Amino acid sequence: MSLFLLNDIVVFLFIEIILFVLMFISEFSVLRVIKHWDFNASTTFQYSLEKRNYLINTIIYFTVSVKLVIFVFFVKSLDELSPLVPGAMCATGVVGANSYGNILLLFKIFILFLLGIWIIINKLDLDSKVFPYINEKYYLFSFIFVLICIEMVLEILYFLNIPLSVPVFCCSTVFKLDNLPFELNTLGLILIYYALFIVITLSSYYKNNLISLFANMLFLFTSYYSVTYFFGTYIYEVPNHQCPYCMLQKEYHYIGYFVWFSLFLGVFFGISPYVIESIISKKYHLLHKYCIFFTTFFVLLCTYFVLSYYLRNGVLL
Amino acid sequence: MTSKILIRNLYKIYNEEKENQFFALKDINIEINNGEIVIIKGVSGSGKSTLLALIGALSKPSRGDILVENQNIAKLPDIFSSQYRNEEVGFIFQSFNLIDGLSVYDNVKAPLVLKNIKQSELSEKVEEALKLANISHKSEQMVSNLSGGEKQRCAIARALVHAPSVILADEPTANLDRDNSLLFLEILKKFKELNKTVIVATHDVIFDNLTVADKYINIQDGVVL
Amino acid sequence: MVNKNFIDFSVVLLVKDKKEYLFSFFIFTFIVFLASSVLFISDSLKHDLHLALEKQHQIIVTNTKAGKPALLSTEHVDSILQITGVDNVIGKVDGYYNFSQDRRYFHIVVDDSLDNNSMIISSEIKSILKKFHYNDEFNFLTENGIISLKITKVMDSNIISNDVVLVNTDVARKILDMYEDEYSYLDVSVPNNNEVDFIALKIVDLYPSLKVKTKNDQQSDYEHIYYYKGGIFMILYIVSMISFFILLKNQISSVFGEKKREIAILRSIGFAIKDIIHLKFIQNSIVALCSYFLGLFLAYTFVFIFDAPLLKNIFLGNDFNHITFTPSLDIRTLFLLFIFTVIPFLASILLPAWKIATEDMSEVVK
Repeated sequence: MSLFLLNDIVVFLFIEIILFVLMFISEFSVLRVIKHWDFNASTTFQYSLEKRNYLINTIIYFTVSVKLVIFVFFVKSLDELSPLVPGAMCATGVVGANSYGNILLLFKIFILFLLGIWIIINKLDLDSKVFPYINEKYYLFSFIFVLICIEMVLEILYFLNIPLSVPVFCCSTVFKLDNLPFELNTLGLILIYYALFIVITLSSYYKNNLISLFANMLFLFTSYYSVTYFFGTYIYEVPNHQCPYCMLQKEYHYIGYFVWFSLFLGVFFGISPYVIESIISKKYHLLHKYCIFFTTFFVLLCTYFVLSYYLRNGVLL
Repeated sequence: MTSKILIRNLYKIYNEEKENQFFALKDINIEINNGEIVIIKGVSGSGKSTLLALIGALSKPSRGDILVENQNIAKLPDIFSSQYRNEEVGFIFQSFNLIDGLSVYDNVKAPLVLKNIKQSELSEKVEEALKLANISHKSEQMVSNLSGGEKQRCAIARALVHAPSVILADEPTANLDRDNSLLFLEILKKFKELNKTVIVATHDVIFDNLTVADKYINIQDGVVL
Repeated sequence: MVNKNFIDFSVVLLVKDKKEYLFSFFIFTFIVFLASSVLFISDSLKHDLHLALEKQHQIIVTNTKAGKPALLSTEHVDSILQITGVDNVIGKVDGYYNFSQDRRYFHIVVDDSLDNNSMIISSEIKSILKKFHYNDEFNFLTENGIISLKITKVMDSNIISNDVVLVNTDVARKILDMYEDEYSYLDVSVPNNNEVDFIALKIVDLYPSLKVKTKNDQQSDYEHIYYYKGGIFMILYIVSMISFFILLKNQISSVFGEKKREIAILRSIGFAIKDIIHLKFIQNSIVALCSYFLGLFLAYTFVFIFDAPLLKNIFLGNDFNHITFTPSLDIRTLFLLFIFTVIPFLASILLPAWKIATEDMSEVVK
């Protein structure tokens, strides 16, 4: 009996296949447009290409919305799967059940990020009257489509290879690191964390795209470790419980979703101005305020748990 | 007077560069000023309906420019051409083009639902338009129950409700009896009062020699005479 | 732009055209109904199984001899009690009585609150006995003679209790022909959850012929069984849904002609292509949501009020004619159903909506 027949998995893969088919249809139109687009031509053919543009837009808006919902559903399903996979007590065991799990998760986040960028560029393209970014837009789309093909393959490989009889590792084993990277101790890590936060706020306030890009990327990396090895322990109130996934569970009031999503959104809005600028070869300075908003929310949320524990117990873990 | 509508070297060609190439419009050059009432005369198939459709951005030209207050609407992407139609243009069609199954009120309010205005403001505008077109008493009626003249007045209300600056009427009297046709001429006077730029495409002789008309343009076989 | 006025107008147009949406509405409701019923049934079964599992002790020990099930003795009980970490070992009597007249096995379970002449049976068993004219009492045929018991109570049949007969320990021993010091299985309680697996190994070390099942194993087993069946049904739905959507597409194309003109009229008054697509999307979302809720409601009534006739036989086989399903609604299931039905429905209207929105407008000027 394979995991494939689980309700959740069947539904999940069904929806992913539908989205894949929709994107596949779009890709045909995209290739056509890239090949023949000529805004200055007044032929019926050119006008039909413009109409195809709207089809692709519609499909992508629909796909992005559904992909977001499905992503949350995916993460939740991983959590729900843990009783079935021997040895797993939370999503860690399920994700780590085979070598495809972590890559798949990262892929999904990356694809969502690129789709977000695509939507912003699309809005810019439509707002002007001459479709200036049509080529950039569609090359980006084709790239995303290739990634989605790979994602589909990864998904199937992942679900096919989840062992149901061999125990997997639980978070207590997986996240038991003696050293943090670069031989940092926890204090050093947290200092860098807050320092980066200040850099991000400043660079967003002064609208410096490049610094914002680097600061956010470093922040993403740092936050992953900070949340897993420091802030997480204050959410669980157990010094050795170091796990990024357990906080998604009901017993912690699903706070994990807020923590990770605010981080991802903040980083997205911090990184996108530079990426968009380099794609459209024009200055772009919007979205910085969203970066500040979400990153601040994230940092406040993490800090709250530490403070709340300290205020209640008088000591830190 | 500033030119409201400026048409330069306008062509509409069907099946371009094919054997059965057909020139619906050939090198049209027209200038229309703000507040003018223009009658375009020509027989069926002369291209006047095509011209009107192009001015209203219902279709795109093969060559040439159409400048409306210095904005070239010829090659606007759909979002902008729709916005242009929703804000600047009111259509009156020969077959009325009302939505069956809806009431007069709902038909007239249709152009306004795209705007983000309050419900009360919307009702106000609809009622005003119904009054102008003299059809308020039939506001709750289904359009399928209206007579020809009443349908025309409903179409006129709809063309006025969003306060466009340009009214395009394509053969407005073709499906009306004589009395209602004469009523339409009265409406033209009202349009003049409201300072609308009106273009009527017709081959009906009652539009000949009108005092209220500012310009007459004759079209034959896609060319202005 | 989508605003309140726009949504109202979409609804007005939807109501005007309700006949055209009726076909898809009914079929979609039916699909939701079927999928929901299956999920409700399997959820309810899982729920009951979990409840039963709660009462169980951590480890259940059974014996085998030459690979076949065998009985346990007090010696086993005493030895296992010696293992550190084991809090208590209770020997239980449990077994199956072969009711050869109907070729059915009755599950004999102990309830010591009963006296030596009474038994409690499930409604399923009641109906079986009734067939053979046993209305108030029943005779168990054993090698030691006939044991006659009065039926004092009939309980609801759920997935666990379907074939259960409750009697006290002495009567059970007599029916199953077991001696005073024989047990069918042992309930071992281990207070520290982390030691369960370790103790299980120790027991098998002591007596290699014993089979030890932990609560966790049991839970996994139950989940596997019901997940498996549910999944098969899901795949059947996908197939039926795809055929439905093909039908739907044909439906839509047939209506094209009249619709074209209406859309062209809307376009002429300023509706952009994206506005038309939004319009169609809103209308179809409303239809999908109404179908979804109606389908859910019908499924709930069907499964939990009428106990799912026909469907339960497909799911469980013919031995479960009198089963009742305990109502259990789970947000997860509702969400799963929503994703499974509404999203594909909306995905299928994207292309037709676009097609109709991008039709040429010059129709309207004729």
